[in-house]
Parts: sequence; C-alpha cells; structure tokens
Amino acid sequence: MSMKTSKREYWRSLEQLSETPQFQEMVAKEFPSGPEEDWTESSRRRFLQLMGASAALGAAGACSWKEEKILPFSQRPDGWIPGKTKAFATSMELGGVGRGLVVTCYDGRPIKVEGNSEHPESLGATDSFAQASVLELYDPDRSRAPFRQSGGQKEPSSWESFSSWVRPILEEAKKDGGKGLAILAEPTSSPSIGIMKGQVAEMLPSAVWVEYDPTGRHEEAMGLESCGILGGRPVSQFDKASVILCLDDDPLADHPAALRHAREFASGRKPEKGMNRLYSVETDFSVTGSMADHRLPLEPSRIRAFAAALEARLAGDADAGAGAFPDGEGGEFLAAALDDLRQAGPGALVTVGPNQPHEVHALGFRINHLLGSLAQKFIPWPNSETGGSADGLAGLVGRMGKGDINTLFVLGGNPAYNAPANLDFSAASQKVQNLVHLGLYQDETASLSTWHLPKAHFLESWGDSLSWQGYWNLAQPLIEPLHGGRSVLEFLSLVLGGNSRDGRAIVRSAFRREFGAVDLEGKFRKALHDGFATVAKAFSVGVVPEAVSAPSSRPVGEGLEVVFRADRTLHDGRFANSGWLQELPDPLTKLTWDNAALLAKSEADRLSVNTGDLVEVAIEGRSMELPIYIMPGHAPGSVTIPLGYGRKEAGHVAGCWEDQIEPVGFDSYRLRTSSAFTSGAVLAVLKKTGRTYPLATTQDHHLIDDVGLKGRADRLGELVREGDIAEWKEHADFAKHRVHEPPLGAMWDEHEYDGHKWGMSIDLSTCLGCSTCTVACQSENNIPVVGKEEVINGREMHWIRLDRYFQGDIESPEAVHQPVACQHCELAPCEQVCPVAATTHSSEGLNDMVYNRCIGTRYCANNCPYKVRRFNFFNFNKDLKEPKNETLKLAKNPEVTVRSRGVMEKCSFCVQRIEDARGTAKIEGRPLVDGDVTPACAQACPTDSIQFGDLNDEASKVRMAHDDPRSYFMLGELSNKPRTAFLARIRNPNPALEPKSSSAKEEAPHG
Amino acid sequence: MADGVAAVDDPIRKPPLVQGENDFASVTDIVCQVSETPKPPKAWYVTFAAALGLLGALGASIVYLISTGVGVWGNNQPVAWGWPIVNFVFWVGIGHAGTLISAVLFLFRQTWRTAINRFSEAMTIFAVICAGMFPAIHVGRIWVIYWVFPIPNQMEMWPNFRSPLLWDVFAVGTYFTVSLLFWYMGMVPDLATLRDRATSRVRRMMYGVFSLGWTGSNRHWHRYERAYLLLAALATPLVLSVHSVVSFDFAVSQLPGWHTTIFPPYFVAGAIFSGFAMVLSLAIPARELWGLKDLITTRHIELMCKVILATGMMVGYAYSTEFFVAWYSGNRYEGFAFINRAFGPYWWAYTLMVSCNVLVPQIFWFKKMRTNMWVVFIAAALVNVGMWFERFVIVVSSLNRDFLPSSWHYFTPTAIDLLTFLGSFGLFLTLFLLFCRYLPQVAIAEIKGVMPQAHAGHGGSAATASDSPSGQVPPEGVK
Repeated sequence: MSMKTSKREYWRSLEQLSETPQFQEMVAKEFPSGPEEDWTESSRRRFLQLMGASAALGAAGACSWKEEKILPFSQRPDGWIPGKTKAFATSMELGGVGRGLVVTCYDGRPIKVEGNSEHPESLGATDSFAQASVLELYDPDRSRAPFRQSGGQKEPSSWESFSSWVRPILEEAKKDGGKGLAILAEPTSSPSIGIMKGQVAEMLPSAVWVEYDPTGRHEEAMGLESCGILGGRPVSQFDKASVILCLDDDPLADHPAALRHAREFASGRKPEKGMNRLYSVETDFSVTGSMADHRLPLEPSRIRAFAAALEARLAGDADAGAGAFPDGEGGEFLAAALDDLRQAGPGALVTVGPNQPHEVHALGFRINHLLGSLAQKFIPWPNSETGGSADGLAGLVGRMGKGDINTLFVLGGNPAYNAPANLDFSAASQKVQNLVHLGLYQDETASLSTWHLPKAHFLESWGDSLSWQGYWNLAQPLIEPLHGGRSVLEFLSLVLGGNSRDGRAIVRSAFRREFGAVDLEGKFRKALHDGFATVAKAFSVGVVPEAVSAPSSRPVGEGLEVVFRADRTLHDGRFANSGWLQELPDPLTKLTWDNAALLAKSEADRLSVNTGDLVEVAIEGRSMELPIYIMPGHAPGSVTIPLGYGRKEAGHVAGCWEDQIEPVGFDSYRLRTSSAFTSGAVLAVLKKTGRTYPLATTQDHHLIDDVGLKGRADRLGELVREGDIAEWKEHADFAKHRVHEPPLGAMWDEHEYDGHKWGMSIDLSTCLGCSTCTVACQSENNIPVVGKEEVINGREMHWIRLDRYFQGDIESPEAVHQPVACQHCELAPCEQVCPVAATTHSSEGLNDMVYNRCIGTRYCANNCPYKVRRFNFFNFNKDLKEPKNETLKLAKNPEVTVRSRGVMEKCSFCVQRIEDARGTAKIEGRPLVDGDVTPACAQACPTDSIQFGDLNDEASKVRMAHDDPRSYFMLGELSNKPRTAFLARIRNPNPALEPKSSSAKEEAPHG
Repeated sequence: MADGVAAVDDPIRKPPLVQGENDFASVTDIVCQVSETPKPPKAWYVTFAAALGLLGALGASIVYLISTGVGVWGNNQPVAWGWPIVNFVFWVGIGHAGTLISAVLFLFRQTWRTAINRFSEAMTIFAVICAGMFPAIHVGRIWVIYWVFPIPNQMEMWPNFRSPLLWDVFAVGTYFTVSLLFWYMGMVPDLATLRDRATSRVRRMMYGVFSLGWTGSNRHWHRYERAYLLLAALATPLVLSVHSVVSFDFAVSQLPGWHTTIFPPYFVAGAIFSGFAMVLSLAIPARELWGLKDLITTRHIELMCKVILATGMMVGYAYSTEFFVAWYSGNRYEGFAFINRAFGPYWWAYTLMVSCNVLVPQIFWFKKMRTNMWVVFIAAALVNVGMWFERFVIVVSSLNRDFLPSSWHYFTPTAIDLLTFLGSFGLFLTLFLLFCRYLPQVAIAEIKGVMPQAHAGHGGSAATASDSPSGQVPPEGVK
C-alpha cells in the first residue's frame, strides 16, 4: 500500500509500513521496541514474515486457555485400557420402579445405555427413556450450580452456603417436631430412601411427606387395596397367557415392566411355537392395540361398562351388558372374547390400564380370579402408601395455601408444571417461606423456590430401587457429578445428619438390612457387578376379590370424554429437553415435537376439523387451544390429550422463557384437574377456531389424496406381508408368493464371501413399533437432531425408522409396524450411481458409506427404493461449537464419525461394533461367533425381533431366520438382493370373529 | 415485413433467404453496425441492467447456498433432487438447438440456417454454461467436486464409471467443448471483418487477437471449410448423445417414472423442441431491436415454428407412450407413478406441461399464427414454460412418491430456489446481451453465400443457392 506511494527507500518500522490504526496499535502492544536493524531490511518476503508473526502472536495473546495437565498413569488401573470401552451395571428409576441397565463407558464417560441381559426385568432390552438418558446426562441446560432466590433476584450460591442456611432451620423445626415442614418427593421404591423416610418421620414426627407422580399407577394400587391387598402390585406373566385381554392398557410399551411383558408376549407370537391371542379394548390407539388380533375402540365409559359386563357374565349373568353392547357395536367382540378367555382358563389374562379408575382394576383382578388365571400374581410393594396420587398433593397444597407450611423440600419432580390445574401450586407456593428445590434442571418449580439445588443424574450417583417384580437394583455412578449435583439420597442425609454422607455407604447399609452382614462386601460387590440382587419374596397368590363396586357411568353433559395420558416419547414432560425424544416419532401418530388432541375421524368430521386445525378445548371452565390429529381407530365420543409438552422453563430444546425460546407443544396440564386423572372422568367441549397449526410428522406428511390412498392400499400387502395362522399352517411360505418375482439376474459379477457375510432379519410378528431401536441407533451412531422445522421439511436423520400403516376401516383399522433401515442390498442401487464411489460394498457384504469421499450428489438417495439414506442438508452439529454445549460432545460415540454438512449417511449395520468384536475375538484367539456382534437396534429391541449375524454361519440365528419359510425380501422383485429379511407377520384371529377380520383383509389386497 | 410475407405466399418459388435491397456490402453493414454503433439501443441497457441484477442475485444465492448448505433449497427426503436438477435439464435442453441448427442442418444442406446459426450457437454455449452450473452447485460439498473428474490422485481413486452422473460430466463437457470450438471457429472470418472495420485501437486489438490472423486467403478459406465440415460431423452425434446421456441420469436409475427406455429419444426431441422455442424467444426481439429483419426473415421464423410443431408432437407422443407402457408393463409401481403424475398432488404441473407442450404448438398448423410475431413469441415462451415443467414433473413427481408410502413427501420450493433459477436467467442474458453487442450475431460470410448475388453466374436464383453448402462460394474477401 504505502510502498509505492511513499518515497522512502527503507522502512523504519512496521508502523510506517502499515498505516491502519488497528495494526499500529497491535504492533505497538506486542512489539514495543525492536532493534532497528532487524526492521530495516526491505523485502516482500521479510514483510510477510513479520506480518505473519505479528498476527500469530497477536492472536495467541488474545485468548487464554484454561491450563490443563495431561499426565499418563504411572500405574495403569487394573483392566483399564485407554480407548477401550467398559460396561457397568446400574439402574434407572422411573415412576418409582427401577429398570436394570448396563452402561458403556469410554475413558470414564458414559456414552451408551443398554439393557442388562441378566436382569429378569430387562432381559437385555431397554426403553427409549433409558436410551436417551445419556443425552440427559450431558444436557447443557442442566442445572449447574445452586442458587438462592429472594425478591425475584437469583443469586448464585453453593452447597456449603445451603448447608449453613438449612441447619438452623432444621434445628428450629426439630423443636416442634417438624410442624410446618413438608417434603414433596417423587414416588420411589428405593429401599434407602424408605429407610431415610422412616428416620425423617422419627426425627420430625409432625412433618409431612407427600409423593406425587402425575402419571403414576395410583388407581391400580387402590384397586388392589379394595381387594384387600395393601401395598401390593399385580404381576402379569404374558408367557403363561394364551388369551389376553387388555382393557385400555398398554402393557407392552407403557408399563414399568413393559420390557419383560414384551419379551414374554413375543415368545407367544411365534407360529412354530404356538400363538397367543390378544384382544384390546381401548380408547386411543396404543402400541399394544397395534399388536392385537382383535381391537375394539371404545370411549372410556364404555370400557368401564365392558369390564362390568364381562365380570357379570363370568359371575353368571349371561346377558349382562347385552343392552350396552348389541351386535355390531361390540356385542360379538364381548361374546367371543369371553368364550376365548373361558376356554383359556388358567392361560387367560386380563390387564387394566393405569388411567382406568380403581373399580375397573378391581374388576380386572376379579375377572382373572373368576377365570382361574395363573398369569397374574401379586407381590408386596413397599413405600406405596400414597402411590403418588393427586389427593396427597391436594392436601399439601391446601395446607400451603393456608400458610401452614413454612419449609417445603421438593425432591425431584416439577409440581409447578405438572400439578393438577385446580390446585394452583404456584399461588400456594408463595405462602411458603422456604421452598427448597432439588432438580436436574432450573425448571418451573426452581423459579418458585427460595433455594434451587442441582440434582445428580442417576448416571452420576449411587442409588437403589426395586424392579416391578421386586428385584433389588443398585445404581452406581459412572462419572463424577458434572455440575456438583447431589442425589435425593445425599440430600436427605444432609437433612438428617446435618452433612451429606457418601452415597455408597447409604446404599450399602440399606443393602445390609436386607441381605445381612454375613459376607456383605462379597454380596454387595456381586450385586453391583450384576446390577441387581434377588430378594426372596413369595408371590401372594390366592387373593379372592369379592364383588366389587360398579364403576361410574359417563359424566352427565355435553362433550367428549377426556383421556389424559403420559406422552409416549416424553413421558410426563421430564424428558422434554431431550432432542432425541422430542424428535422420536410417536409409534402411532408419528408426530414429533408436538402433542395434539387425538380424535376419531367421525368425531373430527362432526366438528368439521382436520389434522392440524386448532380447536379450543374447554374442560370444566378451563380452556386452551390444541391442534387436532385424526387418529385412525380412536374411539368416537372421546378425545385423548397427551401430557408432557408446553414447558416454559425446560431448556433450549423444549422451551426456555428466559431466552425467548417458545415452548414446544401445548401444556395440557393446564386443563387437567384433580378429577381428570382417570380416563373419561370429565368431558371436554371442542370448538373450531378456524386457524391451523403446523404439525411435524415423519409419515403421511400431507393429507393423502385418493390416488395416493389407492396406491398405498394396492401395494401394502406386498410390502408388509401378513397372514393368519391358518394360512401359515397351510403354506408356511405364503409370504414368498405374495409377489411374483421374475427370474432375477445380476448386471455385474457378484461378490463371493469366503469369510463373513453379514445380514439381518426382522420379525414383523413380534415388532411392536415401540421405536426404541430408533433412539438406540441415534445414541450409538451420533445421529443429529434436526428440529421441528426440518422434520416438516422432510429432513429427519433417523437411520432406522418405523413405518406404520393402517389398513381397513378408518374407524377401526389394523395397524402394522415395519422397521426400515438400510437393507444392505447385494446389488445396491445406490452403489452403482454414485459418481465418486463413496458408497461401496465391503468384502463382508456391508454397503459402506465413505463420508469423506462423499460429495453429496444425493443420487444414491434417489435410487434407493427404501429411502433410508439421510442427507446432511445443513451442518446439524453446528451447536457443538458453542462453548456452552461442550458437554454435548461427551455424549458422542468416539467410534463413529460425527458427520458434517453435505454428506449422505445411513445405517452401517453398526460396523464399529463388528470391528470391535473382531478385535476382541482376535485378542482372545478365537473366531467370531454368533452373538458377538449386535447392532444397537437389535440390542435395544424389547421383543428380540431384530437378529443380526453371519449368513455364512449355518447355525446363526439370522441364518435360521433367513431360512424360515416366513421370510421374504421387501421389494425383492427389483433384484436388489437385500440383506435384511422380514419374517411375515402372523395374526391369530378368533374364528368366531373371522368375518369382520376377513373383510378387513380384503381391503388389503394380496399380491 | 409486408414484402417478406408476400414473398412467402408464393408456393412455387422459394423466397430468397435475404430480403430487401441488400448486397454483400449492406449485409456486412447490417451485422457490423450492431457492435460499431457507439450506443446500443436503450432497450439493450434496460435488459442488460436487469440481467446484471439477476446475475447479482444468482451470486448472492450461491454464496448463501455454499456457506449454509443445500438445505436452503426445498430438497428433502425423498425429493433429493429438486429445482437445481430441473434447471440443469432445462438449460441443457435449451442448449440443444444451437448445435442442431449449426451442425445437423449444415450437413443436411438446410441453407436457411445461416441466418440463425451464430445466434443459436451462442445461445447453446450460454445455456450449457447455465446448465453446467447447476450440478456443480447442487452437490453437498462443492469444494471437492473435482473428484468427479478422472484425475490421477494420491487417493488412487477413480470416479465410478458405472454412474450416469459421471457420463453426464463427460457428455456435457464434450458437448460444451465442441460447441464452443464450432462457434468460435465459425466466427473467425467475421471477427476478421470486424477487425478490419475497427476504428479504435482497443477494438482492433481485441478482434485482431481473436481473429487469429485471418486474411481471407484461398488457403484460409479452404482449410476453414474443411474444418467446419469436420466439426459439424463431430458435433452431430453429440446433439443426440448429450441429451441421451442426460436422460440416462433418470433412465438408468430404478425409480418408477424414471426407469424407462423411451427417455433418450424423448429427451432429445424435447430438447430440440425447447431449444427452438428459446431461439425464437431470443430472435424475435433481437431482429426487431437490431434491425436484422432482412436477414432473419419471417420465413426463418416460420420454419422454426414448423420444427416446434413437429417436435412438440413427438413429445406428446412420448407422453402417451409412457402411459401406455406403464399400463402395458403391468408393473404396479410404474403404473402408479404415471397415474400419480397426472392425477396426484402434482396434477397441476402435469396439466401445465401437457397444455404448453402439446396443445400450444398446435396453433402452428396455421400460417397466420406462424407469421404473427406476437403469437410466435408468446407460444415460444409458453413452450419454454411447459418444458421446464416437463422436467419438474419428471424429477419431482416421480421422487415424491416412490416405492414405500411411508416416505412419501410433498416438495415445496423455497425463495432461494426461485432466486437461483431466475439468477440463471441473469447469467444467460448477461452473456447473451454481451454477445449481441460485441460479436457478429449473424454469420456474415456464410449468409453471403446464400444470397442471389453469390450465384450470379449460375442463374442467380436463391433456389439454386440452397443446393450448395453455405459459404462454398466465398464472397469477395472479407469486406
């Protein structure tokens, strides 16, 4: 710049060379003085050297890194190999019931949650909540430090200040036996907490301990109580049942023991080994309902009548309910189900859903008793005095409102968000002088509190819990608390003893109480290793529920009967800030990032609304707007409203009031009063608003026109091949003949596989559609979350999706689920069209995707008939660069590339697991055997529907599945030669109800 | 133009290809004055400003695209190819007519082509530039797009020769190279004319450099004629190959609606169809604007209308054949793809396509229509709209509903899609307007060969002139 214009022959300093003030300033700071002769040499090269050095030094001085020391282990801990994953057993408690887990750690950080295959209630499988807990652990929105709030001012504080603050308060409370002190906790089965609860009661006899769970199983406990079993719970054993009737129940997906139920149920859905028969009577379409051989949609009051009629007929009144259920309106269904259940006798099982009132539960127990069922048993259940009902909370809030409570400890839970709307928890909390909140997030309740304390995540803390059948689960920390949180255990111990004790010691002492002091360390270590210990608890059989009180009839008045239920992906809203779960499509509605009022088609027509229309829902004087979703098979006369959305203070994913992030979905708790906890207890009046709301679904994005509907119906029978048991008995390989496949050739020489030849099989008979595989895959393979807008744009990234189809009458259709991931075609259409050979075939038959070779032409995606390829339309991992999201990086699987924008991705059959298993086998000096490699989806599957292995190994499970007569290849007629075989879905309809089901079949044509 | 129309009316005698009282010198003047006049017409400035504006929009949208990701467009799963590929095929199709006119019609001794060949070749070059841009910017990682070229590299990786996209790279690349050479070589004598007439130093320098020292000697003419013939022969198969290969992008895949053997001839016919429509869209205003009516006569326009009528019916035939084969094949998915195309969610695009491509050209059965410049101009514009929608229908309506109904998803373009598309017109028009202003729009040397004066010794009629290849009798020097 100045070189040409100035007449100087030599530069004297850089200041003269460069005339920009910034540059001068910088140089002045960094190089205050320099020897004259160094600067006088004039050449372009020298100039650039100096410029470069200045810039580099300037930049280096501008940022300061926290000093970190990296030291090698002077002595490596036993069994610790850097970079090698280690698995530890632990457990997660949800709704007061523990679930056995195994957590994989990579260099001291948990990265993947799996089921504990030795645990009788997990059997190696998990649900989606457990899968997503890793993301919750690393959620950057988690509460990071205690704060104290007074006069609306939040003041960062510490645990130490809290202890010194709380001590005098507790001392004061002790003086009058804890009068005015209350603890509001979540229901828990934790024996340690049970003991501490007793200690609290001893120390502060007048203090109140209330448990609240907005989606608990309180009515079930009350039903048992009414049958004379106090503190017990029913245990259903689906493997002992040949005929099952579910009354508004979803035991296969929405139950603390769902994993065991699902496995047991699936074992009875193999035509080779005998088929059970499932009847479902329900309002909303549930996962279990989608597996039913016969399903009857009924509004809640009619379900109650159905249960009563069933019981009455079993008790001898042969015509009971004939008026309520004439032929054509469930009469045949009732008669056929009754006959079937009677015939099954000991193999009969009737289950009742948690939203049903306790009278129906009692009816259910009595029906099982009358049938002589051996598939339902009862076990004692501790800590269930309140069961988390709304009544307990109502009592507490009443006292708060009167100013009787001056100190309230909220241990977990979020009552400010999910308490019944009529209680007005927020207003009552203003009268509480000291409100202490222990929670994972600075949520709605934290905002009301005087003290908020960060809770330790279950993966960070010691704990214990009981599984549904009463196994003693232990939880151990997999990582130091990331944000200095403390568990409920540690908090209680602080309250009791004045200082927080070691969580391990607490858990161990509870363990000692149960298992004795003899060889305590050995037993404890074994239980830690296994994740659980077996408690000798006899089943208390022989309950004879006598005549039970009749359930209530339909509330009087205009409107639709209302069902509030926990959301299938967010539960009660506690998981709302998990992107994985927000984006996980609901198994039936396929909705993501929203809840909606679910209506039957006929009911929507009556209101003249359609999916996506906003309606005003008024319940007992409260009203709010909700979008409509037309749910095929939903019972007319009722509306289902999922809970768990509309969080205002959840975090940056689900809604954050402080940072102007709109809540995701609709807060339906605002409509849910104490009286609305059971299905159909209240009525809702829906009013059309004329406005619409965008809903993000991953399937049926737009209302399908007639051409599309016909096209779909025509081909459905070929894609998802189904038959009933009679057809299977006649031709076990019927599925192969649904489509005529011409002789198929290959354009290229096919590979020969001397070594392994990986393949997969999926049994459609047992796939529930629960979608756990999708979250498991997301966690294992670092699949990004794209957000609602991009789901609407059709850019979701899931590598395995659950295709859900309805067939038959829209008011009472059958549903089928089909998991679709990359089929790893032998003659893969994608491989042939990629111009840069970024997707190629491996020597073991995998269709590999080479990310760093991909240039993103997307031709492969066009040519994939299964549409399983996913494109990074944007940099979906951009948020990792933000400093506040540093912890999110820890959730990534280091074995899998984090993809950037512009590249294609898809299921890899978990190639990293194959390679890991290969390495392990090699070190152990043995060949790879069947079962060494399990992809994330197969591992998580509750029903073991997904098999994976070596097709060259004749004894492998996957090979046997491929050789099964039921197996078929979807779109095999295209000559792609897919590697994933589907096993045709077999239904077991009751011949007595056959005409109805066969007419439905006709609509789903055969090839 | 009244006299022109009158001349066409006589069915016995073919009217002369150059109308009016023109001799060799006046033809040179007519063509050269366009670039020699100090100020082009106001309309040129207006259009050029608009074109530059659109070009700027294109640049901005590309910068946004590359800095943000392909998601700025409406593409989704399953519609992984959206407007960019539609635009690519559209522009390649446009870029078809030029070489057809200059090479194929040259070999078939269609002397009427001489008036429009330079023009349409230029259009070809610029259309192919626009076309080539789209596949380049539509990839996810443009910074590694050179991997599609078979360049020896440290990765020891060749591109995948089985991929039609790679064939595309070669086909379009070859087509562009040969078209450019053909166009430029044909222009050399005219550039020399401009050089010789140049009055300013800059013009002399520039035309001088690009006319490659042309003197108009017999030896030059002899070699020029040979080379021109050879290049024409070389370009002719490319006319057929380039769009056939482009159609392979679709036909070789197994997507219902794409996977059909009819695609190569159907695409070629469609390309000629749209190419001629584009030539008309450009020629009609240009002849008006630059006073070239004596050279690009009503007869030329009429002949092009006839080509459009013929190819339009071929395209219509292809549409019906597709339906027939979809039904006759008994293939469930294929059958659905076509029913869905016509009656599914994109029925409006299909209807628009059929109306513009099959119905609109039918008006060219009537001479009155063929000779009314407004009608021809609007019809040509509609054909271009129809052809764009043809590609839209093929790309989007096939992708949006393929095999598995679970993946079906409607495609909606974004504002950026629209901006990029309009921007490509900016690029095209900018280049074309610069060409109009600075290069000879009509092949001066060639057109002289079809004038009666060139055949003074042979009866002097234009009819006989059409029997000899153009330019075979070189006009006097290059003046």
